[in-house]
Amino acid sequence: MKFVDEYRDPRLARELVAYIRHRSSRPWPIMEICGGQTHTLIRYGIDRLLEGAVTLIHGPGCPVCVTPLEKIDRALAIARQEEVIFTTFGDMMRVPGTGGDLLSVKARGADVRMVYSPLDALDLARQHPDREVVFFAVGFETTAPANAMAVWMAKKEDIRNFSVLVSHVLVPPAIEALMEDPETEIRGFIAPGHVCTVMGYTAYEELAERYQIPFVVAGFEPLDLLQGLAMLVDQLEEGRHEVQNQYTRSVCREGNPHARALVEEVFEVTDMTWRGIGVIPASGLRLRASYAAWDAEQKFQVDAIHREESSACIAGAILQGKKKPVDCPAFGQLCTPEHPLGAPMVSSEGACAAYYAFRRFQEAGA
Amino acid sequence: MMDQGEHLVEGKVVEVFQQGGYPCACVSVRGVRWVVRADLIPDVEPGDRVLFQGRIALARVEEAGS
Repeated sequence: MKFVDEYRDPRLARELVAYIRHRSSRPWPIMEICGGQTHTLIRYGIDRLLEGAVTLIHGPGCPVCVTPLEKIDRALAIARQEEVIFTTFGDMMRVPGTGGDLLSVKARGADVRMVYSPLDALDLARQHPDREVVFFAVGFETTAPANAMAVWMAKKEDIRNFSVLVSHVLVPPAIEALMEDPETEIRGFIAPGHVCTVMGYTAYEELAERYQIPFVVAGFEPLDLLQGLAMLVDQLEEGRHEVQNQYTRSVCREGNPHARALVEEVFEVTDMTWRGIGVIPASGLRLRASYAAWDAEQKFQVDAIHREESSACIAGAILQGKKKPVDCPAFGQLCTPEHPLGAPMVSSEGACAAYYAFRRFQEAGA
Repeated sequence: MMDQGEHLVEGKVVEVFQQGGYPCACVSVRGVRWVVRADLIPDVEPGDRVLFQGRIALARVEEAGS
């Protein structure tokens, strides 16, 4: 299949694996930020192929996983209200809150609907002027333009029965928090390709300089990641700390200026709580005051809901790369995709879901 | 794919047009056609490959080696 097969060529993959193994003088600890990249690495067994040459550390780049418990509980509180049509991407439906998940609230009669786009939620608001339509706007910089566009259109068309519950997080402050940890072992980063299609990679240049650590912006296919790792190992072996772009077919240094301008118009940077990690300064987005009429937290007055995380799930340690899913005593036993204790087992980008789907639960002796 | 609206999807633009006063593109993904908003790639043309998320085109994809 064009645009897929050329990035999964087994001969080229073997050559890149051999190159990395030959080039690497030690098992360099490298973090891939994005959950989509984690899934490719585990699915194709790239982490095992590179054992001894690269130690892959899975990062916090699963937007569903880092959405804080209190935000899930606010979503549940809004969804239970009779006049509300609550809309969300499918991944969020089974993320456990304190008293269940969106799917269980739906089973008890709430009008919860899975949509493909915030624009679909906006269409619902047009079709049901007597109802309040709320979209759960979750994600990293990649989903921010679509969510910004829905809110911008609602304001432009004066659609007042539409609002968004915002839980947007940003990658560079999370990297900063990881690198400020005195116990960090990370020596290089695979930067998230899709985030960079929107934002570009100038923010990573500042981080590379400040922490003297190399970055490679990479795509999501096996050869993308192997080439990105080869570029990182080259830098590490040569003592360089640059930002290189492997994903040139989609990413340019400045990103998409139109998308960035739209996000800037609708959102502003704020402190954000990351599930299992805590508050990271200036690591999230919230609606600007001029868009407050479309802020579901204000409209439904749920911003007083606060929750403590459960101690049964070690998602925080996994999202910071300090532990792997197989290190969790609940993995594959008490915690499965059917009965998740935490979001990383539910989300299609969660590290626990990747390990479970590709049978790594055998490593845990489950 | 309908449960993974947060993911970016790659496809080929087959038509560019206006709908409801907004620029849109019809994008073919493995034979399935999607109508996406094209505001954020204003110069997109039929034949271009794009990445889109949540029915919004976000980036043009250049062919490998081009």
